[in-house]
Amino acid sequence: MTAPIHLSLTEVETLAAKAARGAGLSWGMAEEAGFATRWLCAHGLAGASHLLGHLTRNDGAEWGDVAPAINGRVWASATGGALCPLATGAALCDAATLPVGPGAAPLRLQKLGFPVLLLPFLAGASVALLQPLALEWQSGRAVVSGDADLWIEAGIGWDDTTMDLTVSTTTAPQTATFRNPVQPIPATVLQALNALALRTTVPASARSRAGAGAAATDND
Amino acid sequence: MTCANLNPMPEAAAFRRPAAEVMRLDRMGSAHPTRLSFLRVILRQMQAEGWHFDRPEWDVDAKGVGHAVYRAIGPKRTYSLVAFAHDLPDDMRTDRVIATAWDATFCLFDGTPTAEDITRLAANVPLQEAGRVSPTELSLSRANRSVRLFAHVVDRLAKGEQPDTAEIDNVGYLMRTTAVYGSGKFGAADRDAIAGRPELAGPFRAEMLSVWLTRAFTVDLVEHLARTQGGAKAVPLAAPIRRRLGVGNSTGLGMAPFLIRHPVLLNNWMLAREEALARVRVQTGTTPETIAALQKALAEAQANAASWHSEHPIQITKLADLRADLERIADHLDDWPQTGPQPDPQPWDSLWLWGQENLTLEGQEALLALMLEPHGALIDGLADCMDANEPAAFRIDGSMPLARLSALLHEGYAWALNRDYNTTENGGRFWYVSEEKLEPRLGERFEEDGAARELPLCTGRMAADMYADLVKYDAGTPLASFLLAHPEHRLIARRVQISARYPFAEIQDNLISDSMLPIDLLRCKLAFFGASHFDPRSDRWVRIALFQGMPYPQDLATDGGVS
Repeated sequence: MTAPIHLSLTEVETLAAKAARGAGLSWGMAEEAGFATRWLCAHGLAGASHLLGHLTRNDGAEWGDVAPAINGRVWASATGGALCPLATGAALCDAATLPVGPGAAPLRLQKLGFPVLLLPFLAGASVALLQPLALEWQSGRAVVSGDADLWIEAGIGWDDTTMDLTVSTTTAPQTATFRNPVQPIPATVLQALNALALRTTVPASARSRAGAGAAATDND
Repeated sequence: MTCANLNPMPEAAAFRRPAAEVMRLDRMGSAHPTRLSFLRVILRQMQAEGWHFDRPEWDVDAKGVGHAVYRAIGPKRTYSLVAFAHDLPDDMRTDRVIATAWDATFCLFDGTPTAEDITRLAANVPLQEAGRVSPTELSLSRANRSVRLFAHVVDRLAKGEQPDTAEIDNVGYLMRTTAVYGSGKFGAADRDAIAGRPELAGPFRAEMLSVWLTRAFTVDLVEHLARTQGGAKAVPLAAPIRRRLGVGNSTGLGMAPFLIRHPVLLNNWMLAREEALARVRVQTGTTPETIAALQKALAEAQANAASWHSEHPIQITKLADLRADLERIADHLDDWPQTGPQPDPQPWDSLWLWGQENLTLEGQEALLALMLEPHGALIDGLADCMDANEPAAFRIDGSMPLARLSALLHEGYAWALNRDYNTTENGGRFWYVSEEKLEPRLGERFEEDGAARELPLCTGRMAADMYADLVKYDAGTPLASFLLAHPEHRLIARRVQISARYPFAEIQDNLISDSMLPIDLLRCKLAFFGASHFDPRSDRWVRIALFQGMPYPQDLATDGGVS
């Protein structure tokens, strides 16, 4: 099958979490990947494709290389590489109301990969702060307010690049929020995510097969 | 949702059982259906709202192959069970998820399906996991015949006779479902899309409706085949016998992780039930009506226990306990409530406390179900509090100092700390998903490969592991900093915070112990569905019956047996 496939958001979330785990993230971070991908897809963005792009690039990466090291108002990889948007997003959300977080003063995120994946975490942080948050980069700006409201003021070329961004509190724009219909997922993306997800499974053994069913016949 | 601010009876809170008592596997594995069970709730709701039902399509041939449509028509919306009947060779009949064909396959359609819908569904629903459905479908399911009983009933009806009631009671259903998928599975509607509808707001409503309509289909199918076989001689199933038939369900480990993966939902189910018990215990008197309803419920429970069979040693013991306990309850009720110059100020609480001291876990949990029965007006509204806003509980509060997290671990996870999980006793098992069938399984950690791909259902060990790391940090360190350094503890940190807000969220038992019984998890969940006749086929596989003794669609409007 090569036509794009409509997945329910539940399926998207489950698949994204398994694929993230398969690519080496912890289960708790994999849950975040599932949440983030679902959030993007629910807004009509290509969440599954973005996640796949990120997981492929960061497959098996060491956490210490891609997680943010916090140095004042600058969050950057301790080893100089690209920041993982899931690790950065989760940390940003966790720290939302802390002095190191975006509620206190604008934050600089250095070399963030796949910044579109950060948006869902701004929603969590916005809920915690009770304030909208703006994500700004050289050529554009997005605002997230509460758990679902999104404004994208420019977004060209920002989905699969590594760039420096700023996160700061803001006010909600007066314009209409961004929400497109949920998009079908390209078959190749689905296949690749399924392949990553399969890494979370265990090959069968005679023993596991034997223990899986009823001890008696079902033909009674 | 939380209904705390709507609670009309805050005084009941003091009578709630603590989570440390309720959330134990052996007690959860003794759960009985109650009037808050989902199938009871949806029947009550449809009855109260005057739903009506029809069967606009019946296109089944002499071999029993074809399709049918059953509609449930409510005040605002209509839902249709689309049933496909197949001719399944015996050698393809298995209840396991590895099956590729079934005696019948179903979906619950949102509205009334057109001919085009039926064509699309006919190309997908019979394939189950290998097909795709769409957001107009709310559930996807399949069922296999109970071969012997199905044939017996068709044969008897074809001859113009009624089936043997002993045979009926021995099995209890004509078909058993082997999976009922809802909530966005295989392309079906997401839960979010239907959760705003009052009739589907509660958990598993669409799935229960689908199974209830499936029950009607199973009876129509045997009567159809009997007419085909017996012609004019054939008779329909007598109403009292029909009523004794439910729909079976056959379930394995696939269902077990659900309660662990949905802690807020589990809390809300448990909390509603526990609040119901507490409200009953706090009552200051009885009435002739409540006493009569209690006696009626007891008689029904005794009849149910008498017709409940199992060949599994664990369940045989539990059934003996249950039957003896129901006898004890009957004896005790002879002198209850205490009368005389000093009447008992809280007779329901006294009854409960007596049960605590004199009954096994089976009997105690059965008594809970009995005590709820007479008190519909007091407790039925709690059914509205059994759904969950899971996304709202997802975000971790990273500002929490580790001292607080540590305190939460000591409060809610004391059972999990200070255990050596490297022993077979404490850590002998691991949960995983099989590559071959993509189904959850349990492995033996020290004997099989695969533990590196363990599912995060080892809640106790994860709590202990996190505790071992967090004591290395300054107590004032915010959780955000800890998780940035230790992403491996993120999942359990979230659970601990959820447990602090939702006291019944976590099962307080070691889920990787070598003595853990997965069927305890299954029984708890199935009791909330409303399952009866829990019949283990191994320590990780069960059969149950749903809707036994309940009305059929054509009876609902006039039936007094629902409330």
